[in-house]
Amino acid sequence: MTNTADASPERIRRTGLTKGQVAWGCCFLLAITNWGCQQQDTFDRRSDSSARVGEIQPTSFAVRAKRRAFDGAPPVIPHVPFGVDCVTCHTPTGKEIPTIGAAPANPHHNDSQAGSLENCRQCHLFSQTTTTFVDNAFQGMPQIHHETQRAYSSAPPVTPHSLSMRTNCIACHAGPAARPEILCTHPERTNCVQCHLATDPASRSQQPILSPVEMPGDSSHATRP
Amino acid sequence: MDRRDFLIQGGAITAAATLGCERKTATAGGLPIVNLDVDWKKAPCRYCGTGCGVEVGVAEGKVVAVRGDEKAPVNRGLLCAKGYHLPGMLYGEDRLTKPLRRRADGKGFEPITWDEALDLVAEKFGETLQEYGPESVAMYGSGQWTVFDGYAALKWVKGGMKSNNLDPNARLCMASAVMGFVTQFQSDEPMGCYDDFEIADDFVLWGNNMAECHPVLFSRILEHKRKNPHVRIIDIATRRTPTSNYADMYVEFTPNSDLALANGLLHLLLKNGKVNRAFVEENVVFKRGVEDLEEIGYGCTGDQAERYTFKDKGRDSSLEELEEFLADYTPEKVSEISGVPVGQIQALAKLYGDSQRGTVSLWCMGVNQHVRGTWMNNLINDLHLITGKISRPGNNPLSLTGQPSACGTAREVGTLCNRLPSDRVVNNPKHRAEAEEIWGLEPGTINPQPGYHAVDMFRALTRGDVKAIWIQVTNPWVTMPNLERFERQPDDGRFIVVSDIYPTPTTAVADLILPSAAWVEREGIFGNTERRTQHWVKMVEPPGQAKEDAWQIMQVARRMGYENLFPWPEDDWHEAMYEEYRKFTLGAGKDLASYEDLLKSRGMRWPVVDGQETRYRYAAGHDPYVKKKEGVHFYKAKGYGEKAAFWLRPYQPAAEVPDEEYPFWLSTGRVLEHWHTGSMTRRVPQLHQAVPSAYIEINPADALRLQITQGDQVRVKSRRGEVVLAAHISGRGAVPAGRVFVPFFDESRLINRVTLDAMDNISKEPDYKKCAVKLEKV
Repeated sequence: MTNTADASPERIRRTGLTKGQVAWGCCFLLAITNWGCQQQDTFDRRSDSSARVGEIQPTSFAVRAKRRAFDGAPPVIPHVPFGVDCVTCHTPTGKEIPTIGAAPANPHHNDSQAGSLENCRQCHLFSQTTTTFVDNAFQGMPQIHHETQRAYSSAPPVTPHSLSMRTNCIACHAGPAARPEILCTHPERTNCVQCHLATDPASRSQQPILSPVEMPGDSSHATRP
Repeated sequence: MDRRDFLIQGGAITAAATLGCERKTATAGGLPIVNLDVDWKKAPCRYCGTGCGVEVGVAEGKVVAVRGDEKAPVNRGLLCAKGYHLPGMLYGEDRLTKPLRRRADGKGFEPITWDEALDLVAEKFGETLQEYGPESVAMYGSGQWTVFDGYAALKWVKGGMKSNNLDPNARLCMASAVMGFVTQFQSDEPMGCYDDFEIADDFVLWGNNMAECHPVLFSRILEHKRKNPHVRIIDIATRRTPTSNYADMYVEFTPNSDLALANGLLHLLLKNGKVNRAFVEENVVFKRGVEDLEEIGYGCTGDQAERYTFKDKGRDSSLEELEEFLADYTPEKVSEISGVPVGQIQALAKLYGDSQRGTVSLWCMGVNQHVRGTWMNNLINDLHLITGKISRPGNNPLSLTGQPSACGTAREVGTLCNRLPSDRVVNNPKHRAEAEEIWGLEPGTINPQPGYHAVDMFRALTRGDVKAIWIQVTNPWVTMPNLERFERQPDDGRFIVVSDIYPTPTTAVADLILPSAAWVEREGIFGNTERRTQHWVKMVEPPGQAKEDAWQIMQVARRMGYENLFPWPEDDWHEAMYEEYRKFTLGAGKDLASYEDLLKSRGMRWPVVDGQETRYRYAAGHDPYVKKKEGVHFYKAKGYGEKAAFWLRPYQPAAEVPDEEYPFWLSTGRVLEHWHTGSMTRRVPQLHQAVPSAYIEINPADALRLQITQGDQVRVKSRRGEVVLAAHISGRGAVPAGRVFVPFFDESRLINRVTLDAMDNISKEPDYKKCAVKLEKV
């Protein structure tokens, strides 16, 4: 039920609205990637000093949505190119950049696919203009909130979003650029998935799919001359 | 308020209230809860030939999201910026939604009904056919056609109108790779597959900017390299690109001298005793073709500029003759021609000659769009043949493709002017008879004379030899080289039909515009680079009256009296058509998966025999057609005694070389954010905003000399035409002094007014990578 692929009408109807569960679910769902560092609304990320852990600010939704074509799309880059490698500032833990602000951590850092995520601009776009070529009527999927799953009221919540390409949890839930609403109360416990189960990727598609005949990487394939 | 406002304002609370019952909404502590019933289905990406698997999210009858399919073997969840922004491509506000006919006064278009439109096409093609014969009608298709569209076109043109004037835009893109494989293995398409990206040790990129043009595949290589530091990437190119940043060695060569470089490597392999003699003896024959520059020409001057019909003639050769032939290509001589340092030539030869390391060669447009593109394809395949590094996991030449079904449709269905499905050709009586039997036609129906190839087709249209043409899923008034040649004259007596999803410079010259359904608005099948056939179901309704291309063709064919070719019910024909087409593939070594298996799988790589796909063609233990216990068997090459042909191919210069008046080399190409002519990607705001217009990359030294600074407007002028572009002095790519680069996606800055329509002698593929230009600051 934590996954959009399972969002059949029945499941949605069964969705309860327990306050605490919902709050946690949303907290995690907010945690996608960069919250950016150029535009005014986010430069001064702690200007809303009244924000407490666990409290959602409407601006966060606005900023997050503005940078994505739809929920799940890679965010566009909200600043001009600085002429350095992205990972110079977007380190595994994030970095305070003097006079500029806090660079969000790289959420892909721990990823098993990290090598394949080296080419940042494969997915993340700089913008040179705000105009369009032709107007576009596309309406993207909004952030979808589900009930958070817990085994019982005080059990650790299941991660309500896929961990695909964002296994570095602290990139969004701790560190200098994390939004206050989704800050983790216990970032010192670094092995997040020890307690917080990840959403099962197998539940993401209900289509019957043949298993791949053989997957590369099997030792039997590595035959050399 | 619509969903877009909601997104912009982030006002989930207000939006939720207006979105109706499908979204269960509530708030908790000021927190908005939105549930949207999203249905996810699999599809291959619409854009390049990589064939990434995506899951398409549909809600309320619209595509609202995509995500990388984590189970897709091609991309394992990763996409590129174009792929992630796929849904926006469907919803540009100027989608074509009704058939439009040019007004009688020639100015503008008026809407007509589908019946009127289809009658008009049938009538015009019928009249032309009757009056001027099958050579006067033509269809220009696409590597973006689904298998259904291509197969319908093939039957209509070749089985119905008895014409062979059917060619795809893949002629501008993959034809040299086709002819490379056909001349050497007598069967098109690669023996290797993407599995090599996790197996090989060395990746040699010949003129191939993978980081931008095949980013997902390049990411697989980068991941492999990260896990295995011994892995090397070699970037052989005429300009530094984002790919070069990841390369262990960047080899920069003078345009067209890759021919010399490859021969230089062969020279060293022979000299250093790196020939795999056992392999060569068992599996390779040597061939030599016509090498007389005068006789071959470039297809762009004199008589050749009207009809370029050069034919290569092969004769037997030998390893001894090869040794003699290569004597000229010493590292020093090659270095002089190519500008590549001797040390790099030796390093490359060592790499190909190292039998302990797996080597994969990769190439795309740099090698294919080349006045000697077939030769260059031959030479790369030769490097693998002479060392025996072929048809083995981790050792293969793999030509990449730029369109989603250049392989599946253009090459496999055979929508080329000389082809029929599964490696069959129209000038082979046996092949024609097989097609006539499957199609239930009288013997002798199919025309044995090959038709016009793409460039020739448009030359014939300009001359008036082709009078009626139907263009689908492609944009030739942006992509043809030397565009000025093809400008339309008023009252020229031609009839041009264009099917597309958006207005383009090509629809602007049409007499009739037909609105097409795009991607998941209809059912489809694409075939990607690694022989993987992928199917998707229709997920949303097309806008307005838009219809799928295959339906349009079948409707016209029925009106012309060819209903016997399309005997299926109008509302249920996809499976029947596919299964008929599949008959061509079974037993031909190109066996496609059953329709049922395609529905269930995330694509399968042919030949699919007994429900099992094939990773490595011609390889014992992999390819079910190979009966040997080990090694390879090039069983398709019947003409060479079931061996592969090694072709001796010399270096020759480019068709046009910079001189005093036109001192710069111009190369054209792509950027990551836009796909081909940008008719889809430019309508996606995020992609347009990233690269809003074409530009010209200039070397800083040249810019200084010409007093050009960043962003200055520069006129790029050739002997054919000119265009004004903004200067990029240090952009994502870096050109060496004396060379400039311009992307071709921008319809308002048409670089193809400048390019040269010189062609490869065998594949008839134009060379968009080399011509001479001068620059003037505006």
